[in-house]
Amino acid sequence: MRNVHLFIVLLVTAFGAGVPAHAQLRVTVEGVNFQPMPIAVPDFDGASAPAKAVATQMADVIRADLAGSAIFRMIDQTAFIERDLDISLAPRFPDWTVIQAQALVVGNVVIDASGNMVTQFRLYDVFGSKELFAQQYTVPTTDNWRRVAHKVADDVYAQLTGEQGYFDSRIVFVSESGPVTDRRRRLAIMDQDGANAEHLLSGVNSVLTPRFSPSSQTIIYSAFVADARNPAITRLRVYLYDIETGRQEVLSEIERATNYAARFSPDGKSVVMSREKNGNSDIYAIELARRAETRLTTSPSVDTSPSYSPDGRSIVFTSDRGGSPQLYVMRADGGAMSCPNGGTETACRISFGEGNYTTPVWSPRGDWVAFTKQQSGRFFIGVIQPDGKGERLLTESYLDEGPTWSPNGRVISFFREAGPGAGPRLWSIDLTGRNLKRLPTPGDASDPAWSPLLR
Amino acid sequence: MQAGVYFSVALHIAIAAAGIVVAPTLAAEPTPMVILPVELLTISDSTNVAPVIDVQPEAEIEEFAEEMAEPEPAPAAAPAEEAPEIIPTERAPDSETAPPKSEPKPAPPKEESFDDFLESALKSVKDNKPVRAASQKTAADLRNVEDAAPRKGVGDNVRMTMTVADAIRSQLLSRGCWADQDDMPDAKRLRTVIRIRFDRDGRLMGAPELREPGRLPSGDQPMQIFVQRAQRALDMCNKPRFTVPPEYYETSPAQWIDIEFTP
Repeated sequence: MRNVHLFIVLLVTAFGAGVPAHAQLRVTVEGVNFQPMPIAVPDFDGASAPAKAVATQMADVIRADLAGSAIFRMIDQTAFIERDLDISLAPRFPDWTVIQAQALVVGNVVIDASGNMVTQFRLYDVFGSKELFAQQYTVPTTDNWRRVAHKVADDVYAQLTGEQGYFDSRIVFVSESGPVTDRRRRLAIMDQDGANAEHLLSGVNSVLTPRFSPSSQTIIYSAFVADARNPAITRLRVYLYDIETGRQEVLSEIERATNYAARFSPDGKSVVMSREKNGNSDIYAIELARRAETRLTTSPSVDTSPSYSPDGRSIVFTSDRGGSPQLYVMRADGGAMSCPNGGTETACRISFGEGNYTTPVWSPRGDWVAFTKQQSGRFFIGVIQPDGKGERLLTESYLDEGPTWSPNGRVISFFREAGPGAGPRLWSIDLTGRNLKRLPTPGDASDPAWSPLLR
Repeated sequence: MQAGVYFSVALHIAIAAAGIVVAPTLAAEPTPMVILPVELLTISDSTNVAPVIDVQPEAEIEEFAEEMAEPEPAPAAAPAEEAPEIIPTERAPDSETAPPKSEPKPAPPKEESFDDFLESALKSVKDNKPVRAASQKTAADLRNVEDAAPRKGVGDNVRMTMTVADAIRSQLLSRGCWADQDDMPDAKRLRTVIRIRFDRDGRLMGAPELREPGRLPSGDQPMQIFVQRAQRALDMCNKPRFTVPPEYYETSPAQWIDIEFTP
């Protein structure tokens, strides 16, 4: 009899264990009111006085990167309860939860006898009381401390947002100086945070529309150059410029034709650009290895500002074939395609708003196209999906123009003239329309182009 | 002829009378005798019923009476820097000002009238009042009472669901544990469901259980981060605790709650 009871008990227990708990209540929580994530980044520790000095500077850069993204809110160091953190010991999590830090970065710097700088850091989930990520970077000299700091910030960003960062990247732009009648436009480059700005060219020729290659080693740009036979005439040429060596070459030159608005393909093997000839602009692709050209549009209208999709299969460009400049998408080989609005065309129109839509740039993530819109004397920076849906205007001013995407497709940089006579300056804004801010440049600046993440 | 009629009428009347008298005795069966015990009481015993009160154990009553009777102890003198060793001595006598403990003296037995009994009963009610005040229930006791067996009406379950759901959602949002997740890449596709339960203190009971997605997709970092953020949101609001409406505790065991997080 006892065995029978035992069997029944076991049977009931086993049945109960096999049945999943049934939730009696369901709560749906949708996020509202974006709030930056509070994060604590104490000064990194240093094994020696020089290491300590570098470590403190690195922490400053990391804090500036993360706070500058507006996705994070930096907790003031005076609020810290636990100090003198040791990277080899777990922090006292209650000391950080009480100041509402959701994440904590602890790091240290060691400079060894041969001058190598070793940077270690750990990222903690404070409320989960666990380590999320740990990494070590070794560089042969302390001169690279800023890049290491950007890399640490990128790691933290990636671990907490789920997408790659953009801090270890550079921006090439046109540095402007001088009076309006004699304006100097020089090719310049800087880190994305404005540090290490420098001119790449002397400024003899006026430069415009510089663009990075996918490797970040080469810049393609246009320049007004005096004709060799008749110096009184200036011609617009497209150049390839190698940042490391300073060597440059003309991409292509055709009699009685002008090339401009060139961009690299995502694989860096070819370039797409506009060519004006006999008053008509069309889009051409040039394979860099063989310099083989392919004409992609044959419309009698002005087709310009081509930009590849990140998979290299499509191109977005501006055309006035519909009466006013609007955005169009076509296949990278110029073939016919099915349009989102029905029908089969060689180019599908995706913008239908009033005003002029120009300078489209495909996002590195592929989900948006940024553009400049001009309407009623005002300029706007906006985004639209490649199928023409979801158009949003992010900025408005006297002159906003020339958008470029951060490597992660999260931030858009552009140049702005606040009013008549005000010089152009570089600005950036988040894809969501938040965090509009000015990028520091030594002087007036225009035509920014963001590099891919550095390697 | 006329005599026959009179005879017949007299005979019918006689038969009917006999039926009325005899028939009941033929149909009725004898019923067994039931003996009901009856205790005779005086009227005072059945009308002066003592009120139902929580009776304290006798010891507690005495202790309470002593507390009421004894004066507040005089504040101790400031201790010296080095506490001297305490040497046990004979017990000091009680303070002179303290009234001597009044031993309850039993009243001399006397014959009790109805009025006396009524007076003593009323007095007992008055005397019991402080005892009841001393035994006031704590908040925990009150919750136990509420938990005991609430009567449920139509719609009570719906009301409870709305109350608990609103309370949880409201805290996750108003305390900043969960906010707009627009910074996530391709945020529209992100969604996770985490199952939780609360203990009596409003804290999460055990580790939250990930329900959707069934497991973290290893190659989908945005989804991993999104789930991580949802879990962090629960951790944040769990410190120090959630404020859970009492309706949640009407069921036993504690019900599971699926929380669906969306950007």
